[in-house]
Amino acid sequence: MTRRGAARCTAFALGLLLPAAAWPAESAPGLAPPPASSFQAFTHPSDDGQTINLEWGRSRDEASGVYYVVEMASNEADYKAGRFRRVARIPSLAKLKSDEKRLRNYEDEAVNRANKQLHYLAVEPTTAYPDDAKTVRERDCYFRLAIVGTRMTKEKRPKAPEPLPEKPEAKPRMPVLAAAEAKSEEFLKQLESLQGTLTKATETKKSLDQLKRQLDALRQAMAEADKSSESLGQFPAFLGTLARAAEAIEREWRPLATALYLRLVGPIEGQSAGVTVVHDECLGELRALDQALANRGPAALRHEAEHWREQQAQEEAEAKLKAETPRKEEYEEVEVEKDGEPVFVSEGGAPKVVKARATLPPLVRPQAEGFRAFDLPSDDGADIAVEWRRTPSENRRTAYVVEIAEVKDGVPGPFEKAAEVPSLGAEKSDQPKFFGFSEANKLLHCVRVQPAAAFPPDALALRQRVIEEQMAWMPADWAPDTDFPQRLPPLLAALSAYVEAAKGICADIEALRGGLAAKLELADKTFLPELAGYRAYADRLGRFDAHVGSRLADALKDAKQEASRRSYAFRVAIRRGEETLHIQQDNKPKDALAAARPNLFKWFKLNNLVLSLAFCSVVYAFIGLARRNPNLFIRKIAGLDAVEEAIGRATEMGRPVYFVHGLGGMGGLSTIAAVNILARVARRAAEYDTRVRVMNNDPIVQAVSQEVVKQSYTEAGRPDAYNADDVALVAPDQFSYVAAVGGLMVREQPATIFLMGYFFAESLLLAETGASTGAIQIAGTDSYTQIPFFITACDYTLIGEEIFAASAYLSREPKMLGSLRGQDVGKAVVMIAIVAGTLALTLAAALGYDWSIIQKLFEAF
Amino acid sequence: MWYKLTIPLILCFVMGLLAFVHEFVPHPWSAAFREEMTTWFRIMGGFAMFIGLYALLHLHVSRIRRQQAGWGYSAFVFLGAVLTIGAGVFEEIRAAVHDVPESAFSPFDWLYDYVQVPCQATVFSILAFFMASAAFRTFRARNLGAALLLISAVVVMFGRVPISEEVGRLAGAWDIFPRAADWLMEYPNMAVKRAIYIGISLGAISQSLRVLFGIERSYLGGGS
Repeated sequence: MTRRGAARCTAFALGLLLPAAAWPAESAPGLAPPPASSFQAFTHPSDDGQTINLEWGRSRDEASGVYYVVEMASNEADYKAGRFRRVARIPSLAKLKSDEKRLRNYEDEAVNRANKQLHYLAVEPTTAYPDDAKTVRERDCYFRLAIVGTRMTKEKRPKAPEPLPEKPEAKPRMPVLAAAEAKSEEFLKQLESLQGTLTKATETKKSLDQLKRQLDALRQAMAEADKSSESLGQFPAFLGTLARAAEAIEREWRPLATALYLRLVGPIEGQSAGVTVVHDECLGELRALDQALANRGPAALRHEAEHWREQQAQEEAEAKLKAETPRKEEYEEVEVEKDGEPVFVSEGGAPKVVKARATLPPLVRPQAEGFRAFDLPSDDGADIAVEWRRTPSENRRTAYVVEIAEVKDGVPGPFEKAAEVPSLGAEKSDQPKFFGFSEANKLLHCVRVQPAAAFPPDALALRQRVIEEQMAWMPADWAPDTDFPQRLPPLLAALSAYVEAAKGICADIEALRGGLAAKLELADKTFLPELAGYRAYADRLGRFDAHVGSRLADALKDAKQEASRRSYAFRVAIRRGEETLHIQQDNKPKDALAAARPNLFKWFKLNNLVLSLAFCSVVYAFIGLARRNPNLFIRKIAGLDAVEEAIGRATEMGRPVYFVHGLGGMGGLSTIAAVNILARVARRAAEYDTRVRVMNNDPIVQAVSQEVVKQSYTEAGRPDAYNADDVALVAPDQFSYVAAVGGLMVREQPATIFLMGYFFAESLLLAETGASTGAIQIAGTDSYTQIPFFITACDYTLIGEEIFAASAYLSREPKMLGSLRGQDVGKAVVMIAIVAGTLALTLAAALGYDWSIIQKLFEAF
Repeated sequence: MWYKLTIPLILCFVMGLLAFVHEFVPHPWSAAFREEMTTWFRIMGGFAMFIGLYALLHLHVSRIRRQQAGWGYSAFVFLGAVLTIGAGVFEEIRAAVHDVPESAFSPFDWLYDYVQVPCQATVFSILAFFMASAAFRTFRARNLGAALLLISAVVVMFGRVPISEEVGRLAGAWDIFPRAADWLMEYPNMAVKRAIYIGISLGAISQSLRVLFGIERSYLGGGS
């Protein structure tokens, strides 16, 4: 340990052993203010013209409970009269100058170290004197600084009001007459809205009809002109014009019709469905009303409704009165922190006063050196990175603007804004994934721009193109403009008639008995079959639209990729209010050209690749070693040693062996491992003439299991004993599988149960059921959430990686044993890395060194 | 025959290598390849359902025909399958022939909502009782490991219920039991969980290498 490190450790220990120094201090004449020479105002190139910068040194009496207080006088008269206003009260251990981002010096670390010995405060005169905001910034302001201790005292304060209950009380149901009236009002409003939509649909239909008529007229004219050979001879130009006009209108009409039909389908369909629902609800209320009339009579219902309305009005009045009446104040005693007497920074026996004014330094243009645009590395070719150097004018009121223009034939087009970022953000060091951890990155800004977002492809034109392409493939009845024009007018007429009939029902609400029931039945719903037919048509349109949508998504993706490959020019400017300064070269804005390209490697995953390849090499090396020396030591795994014993038990008891695969598919590694174990188990069971039943959840796993078991029986010399029905698909659903397997366990009482694979919630259900039958259970899974359940309920459990080691352990093949040793070496390396890395980083933190390179080496993105 | 073994091994190696490479290559071709493979995998999975359905029905029909022990359960399975398939087919035909509103009664949905879902919930709810019985059997202080398991289980379970705060208040610190439970979950438990994860990951890589290089071939089903 160095002397400096020893000194730091000693200071650390003293800080622990002397807690009295950390306790809050009451104000006393002993509080020492910072040195007067350190208290001053200063300007900085990054000033924004709204704040005044103050700094001062540190006091030896800084502690928790001690504060710095800054007071301000906004003009000379107030200063001379001693009329200072407190503008800030900050904890003495906070607000160091080194914490302020815009004051950080990225080129000289010594400056930043020196700033740790200074406090900093930015004062906004307009915030301190809001009533004088217009002129206070333009005057000299006067500041003085004090250090003040605090003490805790008890004080009486008004009690806080009780919080509102979390769940409001449920409102009582409205009386039946009031409910019927309210529902009828709602129904009327819905009808009016539907009527509006129908009117729009009718008008749209008229536009479509007009276009269709023009087209038909043109076709008619062409047909008549075609008949006369004289006309053909005399007016070829006219025919050509007609043909072109017809084509143009057909081109316009077709997409317009498609778009308008699709727009009509949604609103009419949705609103009609909504009206039908409200209509049914309204009918329900009216029927309830009718029933209530039969039971209680109109007078009782009217009285109930009036009483309810009076109650509602009374409750509203009470609530209003409660809100307006002043509450009786209740008090409680609380502990508050009170400031002691301030001790001012003094000079010549009097408090030192610093005079300062908010300044707005000129905006500094960013340098051309370091400004470039380039393809973002390690990406799919959608982004371009633009970087430039920092400028001194960075503060919270300035921003950088990145502009982009498409380059055609080497000439940039008109520039558009691609991004605007705060000047204190967008640092290149914020993106270590793409640019690494270099210290030089802290000197640069970097913004990622997606050209396809700045110049998006024309989605409407693309959609039109896709529709035309798809309509060429569709059968005739898929085309959206076949029978709709014929179907729409009667539908509109039926809907209008329904609206009129429904209005009649609402008008009859006062006439209750007798005619009402008959009128309810008259509610004309004949439009519903029409609407259902319309709905089927809308379904077809919807499917076509969805089909177009999926093709359009592909077309848009291709268009965006194509847009990303083009060349673009970039400019960067710094903006403060209305003032904008571009990066310039030779007195004109500098353009940086770049084009995005898809990359072939993710460099931020290099450490992953290196570690993976290293591990694979170790495994491969041990496989080679195992070929030369087959007697490798592998630790005992109790669960796998018990496999023979378990099958022997089943043979002696004359009961079957169950092999339960779990819910994983054949793509799961634990399922592959389970199939390997099944091969060994089936072979041993075939040799002992014991029945094996395999419970599968997945058809592919079932097919593989059948082959594996069949082969095992064949290798054991017992192909005749193999029964394909013993390797069955039990159920593809989770709990159906559990129920089926559990039932089989209880009925057939197996002697041995293997639970191998990936399990979810059914693990304990299966294991407990098996335990209740008295079977010996051996479980193995890589699902760590189910391991505890298997451990409690099973006799042997293969935890985590042991299931992957099973095939090697049971077969004792040298190649597989070698891979196990390689895996163990990998684990040893990980353990050493964890322990060594933890120790190294702990030591570095204690000694104050920066060894974050260790963390960065293992960083995963 | 050599091709029955060699071609599947080559396919396995090539596809495995491409899947590994995809993790490190950002090029759109890599993403497009992966998307295509996923689509084909889903298509093949759909076909596999037919195989499974055939196997399932064949098994249960033969059990019913032979009237083996427990054939009544097979009859239930067969009946359930026929009813559900019938309901689904009936709905599709009805929708194609007539224009049926969305709110119309759907027998397929009814079977799912009122038969399948309650049955699943019933079986899942048995888990609560099984947990209690497993805990009763396991939490016995037979040896040091079992005693540690018992103590930590009691601490965690007690720390998670509101009454622990009342008991803690009597002891002078209302949050002592919840904090103890949280400490157990956040430190020893988390450490062991991560250790198991690391072991599983390394084991999975080793297993994958064995499968990729053809050292492990049991999944092919054809013997050595």
